[in-house]
Amino acid sequence: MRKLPHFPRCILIVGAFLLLPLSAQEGSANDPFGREAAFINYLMEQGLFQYANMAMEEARQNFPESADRLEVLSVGTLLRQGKTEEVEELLAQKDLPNDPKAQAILLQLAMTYDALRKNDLAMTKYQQFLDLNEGKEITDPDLIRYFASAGMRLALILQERGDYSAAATVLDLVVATTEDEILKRKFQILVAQNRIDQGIAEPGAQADAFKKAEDVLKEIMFGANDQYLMMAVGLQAWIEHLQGNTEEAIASMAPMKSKSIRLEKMLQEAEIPASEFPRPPLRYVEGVIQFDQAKELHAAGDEAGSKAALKKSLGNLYNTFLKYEGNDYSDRAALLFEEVNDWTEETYGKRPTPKGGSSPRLQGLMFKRQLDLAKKLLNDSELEKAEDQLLGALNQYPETSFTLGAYDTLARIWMEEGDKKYELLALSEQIGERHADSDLGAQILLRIGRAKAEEENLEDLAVVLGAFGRNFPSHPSAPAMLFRIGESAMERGEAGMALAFYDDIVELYPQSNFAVRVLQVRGESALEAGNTEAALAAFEKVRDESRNPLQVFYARLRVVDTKLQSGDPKMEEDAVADLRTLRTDLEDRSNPIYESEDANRADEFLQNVRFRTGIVLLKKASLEKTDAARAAASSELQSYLQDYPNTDQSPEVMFNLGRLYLQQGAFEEASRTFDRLAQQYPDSEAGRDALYSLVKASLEENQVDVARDAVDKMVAQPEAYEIEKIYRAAQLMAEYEQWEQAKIAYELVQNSNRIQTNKSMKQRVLLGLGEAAIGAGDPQAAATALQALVDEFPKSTTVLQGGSLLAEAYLAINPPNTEKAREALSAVSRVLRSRPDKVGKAHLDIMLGKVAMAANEPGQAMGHWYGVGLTQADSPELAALVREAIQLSLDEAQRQIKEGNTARWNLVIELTDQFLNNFPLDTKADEMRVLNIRAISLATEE
Amino acid sequence: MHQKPLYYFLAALMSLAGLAFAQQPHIVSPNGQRVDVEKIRARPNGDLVVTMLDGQPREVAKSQYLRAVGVKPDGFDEAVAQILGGDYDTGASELRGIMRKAQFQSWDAQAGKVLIEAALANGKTADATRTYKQLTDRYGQDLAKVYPDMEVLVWKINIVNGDTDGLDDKLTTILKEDPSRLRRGMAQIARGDMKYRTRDFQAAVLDYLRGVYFYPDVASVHAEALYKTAEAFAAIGDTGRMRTYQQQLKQQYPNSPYSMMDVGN
Repeated sequence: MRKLPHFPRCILIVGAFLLLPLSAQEGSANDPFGREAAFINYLMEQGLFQYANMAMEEARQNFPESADRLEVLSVGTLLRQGKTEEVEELLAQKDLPNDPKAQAILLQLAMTYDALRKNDLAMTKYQQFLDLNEGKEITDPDLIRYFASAGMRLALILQERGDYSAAATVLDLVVATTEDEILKRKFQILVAQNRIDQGIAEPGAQADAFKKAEDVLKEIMFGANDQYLMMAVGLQAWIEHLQGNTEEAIASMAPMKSKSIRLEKMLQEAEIPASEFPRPPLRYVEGVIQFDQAKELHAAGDEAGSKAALKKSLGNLYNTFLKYEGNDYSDRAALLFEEVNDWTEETYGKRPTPKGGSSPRLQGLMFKRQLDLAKKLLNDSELEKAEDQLLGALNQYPETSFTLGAYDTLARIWMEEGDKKYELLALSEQIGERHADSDLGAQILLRIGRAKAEEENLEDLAVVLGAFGRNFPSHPSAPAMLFRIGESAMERGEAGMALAFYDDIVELYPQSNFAVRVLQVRGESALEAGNTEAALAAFEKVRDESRNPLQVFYARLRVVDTKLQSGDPKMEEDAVADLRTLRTDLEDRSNPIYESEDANRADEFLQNVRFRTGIVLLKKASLEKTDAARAAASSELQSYLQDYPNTDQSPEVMFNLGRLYLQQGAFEEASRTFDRLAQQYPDSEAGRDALYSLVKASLEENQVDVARDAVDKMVAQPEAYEIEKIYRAAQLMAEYEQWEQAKIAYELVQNSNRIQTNKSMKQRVLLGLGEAAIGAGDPQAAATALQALVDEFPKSTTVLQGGSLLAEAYLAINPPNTEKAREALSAVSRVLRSRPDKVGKAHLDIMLGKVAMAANEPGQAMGHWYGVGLTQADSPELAALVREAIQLSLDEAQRQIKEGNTARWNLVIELTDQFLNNFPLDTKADEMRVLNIRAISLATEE
Repeated sequence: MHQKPLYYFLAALMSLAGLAFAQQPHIVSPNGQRVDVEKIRARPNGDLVVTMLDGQPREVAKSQYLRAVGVKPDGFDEAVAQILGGDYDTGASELRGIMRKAQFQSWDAQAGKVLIEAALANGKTADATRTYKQLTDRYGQDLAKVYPDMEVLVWKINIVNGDTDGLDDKLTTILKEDPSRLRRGMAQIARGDMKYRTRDFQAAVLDYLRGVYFYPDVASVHAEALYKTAEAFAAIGDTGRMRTYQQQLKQQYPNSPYSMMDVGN
């Protein structure tokens, strides 16, 4: 045995060197591109892909000569986003054997497949790389950089597969490509250990493996007197022992004890990690030898000697794993410690220490061994066995440092099994609660979430992402996830659920953009529901809290809109002032927004504000009827037309100008304006025909007489007008509930020749006529027109509305004809059968309920309405019908309660719940909440 | 933009100033040698009349010393306290007096620095610019040599004023060539500030992140870079990342003025 000299201090410096990561800070000062590349890698590791792309763009400009290196780098971005196919395509175009940069890309691809657990693909790529470089020297800096990580990982995979020979090839290559002497010695220890493991696992290859291990160990021992030399002594002793030279093995290690203790102390003082300490392999090997000795002594009948050796072995192994966390031999010692315990229990009937011991770390290691086995089974697609293994292990060791890793594997198993929906959801919630804000926890939940999104299973997605969004506040995607599922719930018509997720965002991430967006959505929903108070509060908050100037402007505009819709004259007055301030601010070209990328949008916004100002002033003039108000409106509208003569809104502005003249009684001027409108904007809705515009404007200005006169003029001289114009006038009059004029105009159209050749128009006219006749209080005329529609076009979709109106007409006739009404609805039902339509069905059920009520069958009526009331309101049309049905049911239920049927309180609970879930911001929501609480207190048990 | 930290910097600056100047008046010769003296008086042209420790007066021409450090003027701490307490006008008036009374005795430069920081924090960029001009008129080319940290203030003034012609190139040159990691780190952050000022928050984030990545060993730069990264993420509305960098700042630099700052307000 070679005598070791005293350890000089410089060993510590050498050891400390190993601690330094190969960071870009100083290490690559001579390679500015390498420095920037390291920074870009850092950005990618942080998930900051957008910024990595920006940095890469800068690098492209700053290092034009490094295009090939940049390509290697940019591949990293693609791979981190899982875009392996694009990289495969890129590689297919490369000359792999002669292009080291392409080989660097190949290694990155292999590592990505490895990380994605696509082991076979990873191995193929690793192998391809090894084949390409067989017998060659690797010198390219990028290739070496990636190979350092890839080689170690590849060797580990190969060892896990039991392919020690291939692992040795890779490790040899790692050693060969490592320039740093210290790192090289560290890697040589790994090479020797791999060969020892090979010798133990493959008795046939033992001699050769041990020979190769000894060659490497000799090389280490002829080098510096450092910790690696001591480790080499330990490994050499192990080989001696395995070859039957146990006494020599023990003797060779003896002098190491005090020296390794001294060195270890120095290493500790220098804060070198335990992975570099020499004592663990020495003590581990001692433990191994002592265990083997114990077995031999037992076989020879020396129980006392065997037990003494066992005690020593257990002591060495226990101390190794306990003291040296992070060292490979610590983990080996833990596993062997359990094995020694098991053997002792089996042989002598008593276990020296309880199973798993009292140390959480030992329990963790034992658990990890089972976890590794489960992973192996998963890789071999033995899903059921892997699941059993894992669940058993989790049951035995419920809480260790590897538990989250086990959940990760379990989630993968369940996702592959495909029928573990509830298990996955429960797991997601457990991870959210118990491993909040952990990186791996976030990854697991996002992976499950992605799978649910691909399955389009939105309900499960909501559970998973909800657990994510609420429990991983540090994750950049958390508020975005909550927002997305809120949106998705809203799209499905689950407004209550959406609101809950939105509330979470506002509560958990009040400073995020999403919180502001939530407020925006809340404002819009409230405004749509007519709840101006809630809308105003939300928009004002957006205005005050948003950091986006354009969004602030928009919020200010919505505040104006809300005030205008409030019905409160004071607020309306404020709104006009607000609008003026908004315009002034937008017209200030020194506003920073005009230096930003939103400048064009700000311009558009200004145009919009001016358009809105015109409308508001026009309305104000309509109400005030003063010259001053009209002059202000006129000036605004004219100035808009002057500044913006050709926007989409220009025709409407001119139309409004015409309206203003009508307000002022200037009919001639109004007519001229509408003529000009028709000439200047012939393709616009308002410009299509002047008389129509005049009628429309008159109606909008509440100058019904003018409109009537115009229509009367048309119908009195129908030959002077195209029938389409009369038809459109009829539609317009109906829209403004001028039923008499509408009815007359429709009748004119009905009697025209044009209609005989145009069946589509005929259907619309019969429908319009029926509706107008009902409005005009002539149900008989309505019934005639609508019955003609139903009889002549029984399969038309117009029957959906026409049949319902017809039923309404029959109910309005005195006495009501419920039989005919039901027949009309049967026609509707027939159309629905061939063209299922949720809205049409809901409408039909509401009408059936009404007919049932008319026939004095309230039970049946409630049945129809109840069904509609429980429908998911996923569109505005359906929402209106659901709301109506709930209201009808509630009215009837409350009527019945008054008559003593207290069982109906339960129905009231259900319907009010449904109302609150669908319309949480409705103006009636508060009333419904009160009713709901009252019903809960008064309901009898069902 | 980044208004509040300046106040905290004032506090930090003052604690350092207190340590550095609560000592014997002295002059530093151009070769770096320190000579303790009893008293220093300065003429308007920068020449000094010093009273040596043996009581003898001696004339020292401007070219004969690199830096003179006089006795800490009365009212200096009070003025700083007033500014920190929000009474900028009173504190600034006192500091302007100190700049006059303690000229060429280092305290004028210290008062000037505080005044510039405070003026910038209060949006009074004209005050900051005027104070800086006073100091350059007084010290000429020697200002940056004697007080190297003044350079950062100049960058800040220029950035706030939008007077950044050539600054980007200058900062880039420093980043590429300057041997001092501190100066490179400060230039990196200033480049981020330039972009932040023009509301190009994403480009600013990238520069601040470079500060985070490349200067973990230069505490003052690293803490500022972490803070400004969080701040820029807040401006973008990315609160998740804002929180990540804010947490990193608090863990690594619990006593830094930046750790005491709110982010995103």
